[in-house]
Amino acid sequence: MNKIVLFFLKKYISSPKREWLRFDSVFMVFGIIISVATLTVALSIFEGYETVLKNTILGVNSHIYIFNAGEGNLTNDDVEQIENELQKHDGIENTSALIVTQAMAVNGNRIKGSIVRGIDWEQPILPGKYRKLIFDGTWKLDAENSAVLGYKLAKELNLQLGDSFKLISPMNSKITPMGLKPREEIFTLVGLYRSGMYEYDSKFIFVDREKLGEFISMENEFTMVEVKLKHNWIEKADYIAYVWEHEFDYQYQISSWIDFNGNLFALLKLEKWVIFIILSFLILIASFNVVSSVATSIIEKRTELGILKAFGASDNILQKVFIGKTLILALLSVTFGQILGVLIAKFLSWQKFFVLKGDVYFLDKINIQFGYSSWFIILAVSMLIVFAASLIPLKNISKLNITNIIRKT
Amino acid sequence: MSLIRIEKLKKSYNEASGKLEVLRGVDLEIQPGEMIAITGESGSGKSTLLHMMGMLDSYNSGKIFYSGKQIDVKDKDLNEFRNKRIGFVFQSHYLLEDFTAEENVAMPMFLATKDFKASVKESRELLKALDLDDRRSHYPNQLSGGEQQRVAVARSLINSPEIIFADEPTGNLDLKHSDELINMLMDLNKKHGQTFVIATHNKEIAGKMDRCFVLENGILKEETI
Repeated sequence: MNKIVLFFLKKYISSPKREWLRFDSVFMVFGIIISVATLTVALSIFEGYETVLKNTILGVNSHIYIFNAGEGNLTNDDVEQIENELQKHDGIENTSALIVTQAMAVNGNRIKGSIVRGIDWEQPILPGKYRKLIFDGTWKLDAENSAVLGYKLAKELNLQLGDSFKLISPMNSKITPMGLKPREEIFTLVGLYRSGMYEYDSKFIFVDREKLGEFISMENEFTMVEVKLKHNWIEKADYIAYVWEHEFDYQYQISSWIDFNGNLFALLKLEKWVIFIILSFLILIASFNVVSSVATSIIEKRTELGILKAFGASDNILQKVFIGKTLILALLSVTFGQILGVLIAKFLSWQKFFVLKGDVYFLDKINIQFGYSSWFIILAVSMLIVFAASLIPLKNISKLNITNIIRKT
Repeated sequence: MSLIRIEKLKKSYNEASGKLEVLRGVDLEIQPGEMIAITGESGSGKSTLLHMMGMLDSYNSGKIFYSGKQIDVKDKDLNEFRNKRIGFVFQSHYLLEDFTAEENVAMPMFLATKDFKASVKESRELLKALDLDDRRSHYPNQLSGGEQQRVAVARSLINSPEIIFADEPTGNLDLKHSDELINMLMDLNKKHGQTFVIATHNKEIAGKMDRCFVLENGILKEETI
């Protein structure tokens, strides 16, 4: 930057008259702080929601699901073939075959529809986080007919650890002289599971894979093979699924987490940007104060400007000084606004008065995250708007008539 | 060659009561090193003429030549021209409030050279010469009226301009400080040979100059002192 401009800026910052605390500047500063803080709160909540939702979904589920392409389930041979083939690929963390079915969980008068996942619980690391999400009881499903339930489901069924409940599977009904009789079996609650995702916590039941196979007559058959990818490959899961489908010669139907949740995240992204654009108008409105602040400052300093012009200062230099002053003030205001916004967002995530409805928003807690990209985008957009606003009154500097100023002062 | 030559300079203002002709064709030629006084009643156009000669204001018609070259107020590099070749002292000191005395004096040189250290060094020497050495770190509001005006004179001198226009430089000073200031300008003229054009309605000050002109009804006439 021009040495003269820097010198003037340094002088104005250290001026004993505290140029920065002028009445109209205070309004400009408050306007920017409030609008930036609002924008920061909105983006932090959206980003936090998106990130936590993604982490939760990916925490519970695996990244790629391999099903039988035709009728029926995967056999032992299929699973063996799939696992052997996948071993050749980089980017795979682990795989596991599982059985998934729908059933009714019954405890006394309480009945809840649930998703029962028969897992190979002895496998040290499963594609989805299982062991880590058990917060009470045990993850071991070695006892006879033991089950782990999502904590909300357990609550809705009024079950405590050690209590028994009935699982009824209408899909595997037996024909009896009395008509169709659904299969049912008593299970014991040995552990509680909490993912943070309402959908999972209120529906999932985990049981031993073999036990579930016996219960629904799926011995030596599996619903799908789950695959967990290494971190770098997670975002490319849909492409990998597409490639594998081709490699397996379309023998299996292969889907990724993006296929199941892609629309949700695309919608979240869209909403985030719509909110960003709408709230950016707040900064635009705050920039009206910038116009009036700079215009007032030019009027107040007109004698000084006139004298500097008389002694050879160009309009360009004087304009740069005003832009510099405004941008420094705006930078401080935006930074403070961002800090304030993050603090407000943190308070919102910490408070317990207002919680999200888990059945509507998937998550029941307000989560926040304010990444570098959001920080930079808010800073850049705010500074750009302030810069553009400060240019409007600057043409008044070139219109200043030195003689008029000297005569009238 | 004359330092400044003015030919048929005219200036008028449109007012509610009609057209006010302030200068009706002024001719003037000033040689290097001269001290010129322009006198006249208040509102006679002395300041207007000075501002036009100093390229601060536009004129309706006429020509202004500096060292034989015609200069127009609309010239692109006029800022640089004013900065390097012309100095101003106004009735009010017009010092910049946020800057110390030495920074105020250094300002025109800093604008020209962008070298702050050299400008401040030169500024200190000038303030020392004008007996203001102990006041260099003071802000304008910490200086007396006479000191403020001497700082303003130092500011007008820092780029060693060929000509200095002083518009009622003693207008806000008491008699003692007024005499001191005029004697100081005359000393500078003798030492450095700088040209001074001083607008004043003080006949005594005008009498001390090499030549004296009176502006009356928009016409400039040389007056025998």
